[in-house]
Amino acid sequence: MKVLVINNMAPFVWGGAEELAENLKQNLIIHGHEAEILRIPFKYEPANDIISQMMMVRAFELTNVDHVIALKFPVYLIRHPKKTIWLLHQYRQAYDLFDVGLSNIPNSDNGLKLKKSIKNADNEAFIESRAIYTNSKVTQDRLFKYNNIKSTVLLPPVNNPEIFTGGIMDDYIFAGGRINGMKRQCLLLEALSKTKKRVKMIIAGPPDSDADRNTLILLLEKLNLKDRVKLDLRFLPRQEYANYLNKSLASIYIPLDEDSLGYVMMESATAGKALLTTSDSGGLLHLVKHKETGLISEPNAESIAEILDVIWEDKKKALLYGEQAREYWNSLNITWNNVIKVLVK
Amino acid sequence: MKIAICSSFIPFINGGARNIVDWLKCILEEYGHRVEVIYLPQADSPELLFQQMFAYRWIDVDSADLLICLRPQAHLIPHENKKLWFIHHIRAFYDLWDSPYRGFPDDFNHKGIRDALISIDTKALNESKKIFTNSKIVSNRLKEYNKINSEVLYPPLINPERFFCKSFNNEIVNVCRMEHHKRQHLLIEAMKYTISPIKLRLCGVSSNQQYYNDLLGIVKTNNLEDKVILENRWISDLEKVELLSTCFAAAYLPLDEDSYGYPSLEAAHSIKPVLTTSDSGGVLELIEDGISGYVTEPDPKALGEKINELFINKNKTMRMGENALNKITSLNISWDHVVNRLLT
Amino acid sequence: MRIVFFTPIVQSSAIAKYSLYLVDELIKKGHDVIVIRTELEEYFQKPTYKFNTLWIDWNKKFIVEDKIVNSDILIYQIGDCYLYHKGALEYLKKYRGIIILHDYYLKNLFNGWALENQKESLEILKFFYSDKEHQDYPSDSTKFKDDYSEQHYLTEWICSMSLGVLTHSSQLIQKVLDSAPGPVVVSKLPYLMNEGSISNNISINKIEKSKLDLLTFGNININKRVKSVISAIGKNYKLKNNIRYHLAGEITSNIKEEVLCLAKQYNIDLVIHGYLDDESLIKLKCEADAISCLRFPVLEAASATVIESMFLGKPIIVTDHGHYSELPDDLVFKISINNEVDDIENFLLMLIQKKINAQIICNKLREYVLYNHSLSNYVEDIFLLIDLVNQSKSIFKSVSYFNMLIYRWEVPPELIKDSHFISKIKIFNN
Repeated sequence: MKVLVINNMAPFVWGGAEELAENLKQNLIIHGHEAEILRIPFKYEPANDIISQMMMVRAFELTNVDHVIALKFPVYLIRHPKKTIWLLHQYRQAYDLFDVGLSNIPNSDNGLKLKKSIKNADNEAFIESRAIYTNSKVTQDRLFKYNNIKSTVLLPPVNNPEIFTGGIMDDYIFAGGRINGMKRQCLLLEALSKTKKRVKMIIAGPPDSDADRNTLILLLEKLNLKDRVKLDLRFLPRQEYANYLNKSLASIYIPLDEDSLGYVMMESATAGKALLTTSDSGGLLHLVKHKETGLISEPNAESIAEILDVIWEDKKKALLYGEQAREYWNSLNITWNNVIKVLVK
Repeated sequence: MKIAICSSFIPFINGGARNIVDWLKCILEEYGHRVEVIYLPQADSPELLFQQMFAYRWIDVDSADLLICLRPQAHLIPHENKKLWFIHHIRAFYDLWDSPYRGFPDDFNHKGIRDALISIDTKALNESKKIFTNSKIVSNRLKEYNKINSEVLYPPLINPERFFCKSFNNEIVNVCRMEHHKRQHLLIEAMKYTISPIKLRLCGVSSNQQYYNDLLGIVKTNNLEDKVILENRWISDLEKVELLSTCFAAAYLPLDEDSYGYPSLEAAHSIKPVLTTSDSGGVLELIEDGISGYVTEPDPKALGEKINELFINKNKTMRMGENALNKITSLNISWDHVVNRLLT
Repeated sequence: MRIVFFTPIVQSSAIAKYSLYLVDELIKKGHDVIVIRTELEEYFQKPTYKFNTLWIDWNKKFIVEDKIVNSDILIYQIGDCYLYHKGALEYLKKYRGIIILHDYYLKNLFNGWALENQKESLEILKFFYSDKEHQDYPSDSTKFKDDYSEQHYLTEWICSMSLGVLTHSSQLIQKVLDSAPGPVVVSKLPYLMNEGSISNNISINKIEKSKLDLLTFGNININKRVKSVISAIGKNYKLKNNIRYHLAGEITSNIKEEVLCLAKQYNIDLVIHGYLDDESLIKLKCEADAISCLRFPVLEAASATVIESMFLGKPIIVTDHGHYSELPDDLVFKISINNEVDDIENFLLMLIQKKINAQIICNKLREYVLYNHSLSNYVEDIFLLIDLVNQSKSIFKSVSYFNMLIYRWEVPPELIKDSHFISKIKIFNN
């Protein structure tokens, strides 16, 4: 079949969704389909221009395509008789982010009308699709809450899982993922300054901005942790990242209310590492079972310090939790094989 | 610089434009620029023409410092620093209007669509800072229909150093898609008039099973099984390079092609002359009769005679191959030149 | 091309006469024209003009629609008279075409149509004129009709249903430009030469007369400022003694009584001819020394009367308002509405004092009409509009597509106007 994967584009920006789309395409090809990716630029500032972007997508004419898999707003508005939505993102600023005042849509008469228009268009797109999948339970819940649409959770698998072999543990805990305020690497440093043991950590990943980078470096200096913490603040080539993870004692990831399981946690589980997180980290708590596949603490420095100490002291626990994390993850059967079968039914 | 390259595409169809875009991206990145390629869908149906043009109008790539547009309707995208490398119009409404290839009636309704299209195209074309085309033919069309001036910027091959000349055997080769307008049937007919050692090798995929069957039919009817080698399959780059390195000449005679076409450029890089016809269009901008190959009437007998000549007069053939290679330089067909022109 | 032409064809309609000439020209140019007659069914028995092509009653719906579907372009003649244009309204909304707009003021047309489309008519008023003035419509339809303030002419209602509009003057053109979704062309109403054309007979009166004859012809109604003329003559004894004022054309008994009364009061020489047949009217026109084409308020886009009068070559007075203001100052005498009676008086004094060079004016006027109001120019302009409409038609289809999305998604118009939605698509404007 000729399958077209459709995603938004922010020119010159490449992130997780783009990686997902690429991997989806590769795996479709492995499964014997022809696959291509269509990336449509999406302009959402100022908010009023969103209407034109919705019209634009709707106006496009697709030919020579058997099946479409659309990932986000507004590209899922595209017209095609065989359309599957694998929802990574609605336009949250018209829904939950609007409710908490974090939207570029003003709370004015026109703003509310814009919200309604987006919702109307969304509902049309959902109704005309063959099937709707979401990348996490959170997205599924939101979709139901705001649009009254039932969907099935289809978790995105780890990309090239074979490189996360796990293996011999070195003496550091690994903190991977993007560096920004929401991921709370600063809180990690605070926690480290409060541990009883000399816990060592490698924090590695691309900072969203120079400000994020600098904040972290300054805090490291201030807390005098240079001898225990290695900062590798850049986009890591895949194998390097895998190496860090494979050799670690355990993996810690404490984002604020993340939507989904989070690649960091999934990759850590694949590598068989104990998963450390906080109680308010969101979707990834489905993967982290306290004292089974890892440890959950309160979202404050002292509490995090405690679990760091526990893991640091008891390497056997780290090993056990890691094994169990891997087992649990495998039991969920979140593989590309499955995903393709479901999406292109 | 942040450069956006935009072109229209039909999913799962790999046409010539895709090569230019993808190669241009590579080259610009080698020069240290950040490049984003944007392919957007486009269907040529008259009823849906304007609806899609509206869509292109709403595309925002202001984050790019430079926008380079190729296939229509990409030239509709608004941008302050827009340059076009214009490779063809929607020809059914332009130069193919008065031809059997139009594909719809030339009634009042369609005339209105055509007039409106030409009017809007012209306005959009005038928005760009500079317009380049891939051939004189296309530049002439732009002048004739849209009254606009443009500069010819010939599209080079990626890594042309792959091509080389090893020897001159007894094969004349045609490596390209087998379609009616590429006219492989003329070449096969021509083999009725060639001397015995010469063989014709036709290689390439065909999207038209009927046409391929027709070709087989011509071979059979004229008992040319010994003279004609038909390879209806995807030819890899390595194979193509190899075939061109050892043939005695290449043949490329499309009907009224927009540009010289990669097959003739590949042959020239392989220092081989090209056999073509007077109605091949853009090919004649690269291949000159008696200098870098032969240009004959689109007639099998005339073609057959020239094939014989190319084979018999080896020295002339070799010289013509060299001339073809030199022509590449004199026409400035190089990525350096392309980048230079696009970026200043 | 194949044209379907909607028009009244009865002889009592002035527009029908224009259609006759126009259709003839279109056929001469090799086009295939089918006429759909648009007057009320009750008028079908009245005498009609003889069109040189097939004509069909508008109420033969299936036949008409069949012709429409197989045509290249539709042309609708529209004037402010429901009796003559009912048939056009039946198709206009569903089948867009070119509208030849004869009147800007369309309240009579609207009133007639509203009788059978009450709910929709109220919605239309609300849509175009969101102010609350006519909430009681249609119960206040008379008040509505008599309100000549230029805000509510309902030009927008008709123009919004077009693909393109041809109008005859640019005076109230903004209403058209704002509401017509397609191209708009202004072309002067043509002068129709006919066989027994007065052009051969008209000459400057060489006969010495005791009094000079002033003429107002056509449907005698209040707009024609008859009372003002009477007052002007009445207040000057020189004029009273030397001017005879003729009214030729249909006149209601009410107005006749009013006018006679006023004339008696002022003691002026007034002759009310009533309806005259063509021959008698021509004679009267020949004998006139000046013609009054005064009109206020100005409801139409152009006046056939004034064009005809100009071709007669007689000195003419017009009101300095509406499309009359567009006429050259050296050809007609303009009367300011603010100083109406005095201005008329001055003109008439100049007339009797022979301060007006009738010969020069006559030649100039004819030249002007032949050059500026030629039928061939008019036809050319119609073809220009057809061409423009043909181009914008396909773009219009796309616009309709987006309008449908705007409607379905409930997008507020303010949002559209304010965003790059509009700014980026200006390139599609003709």
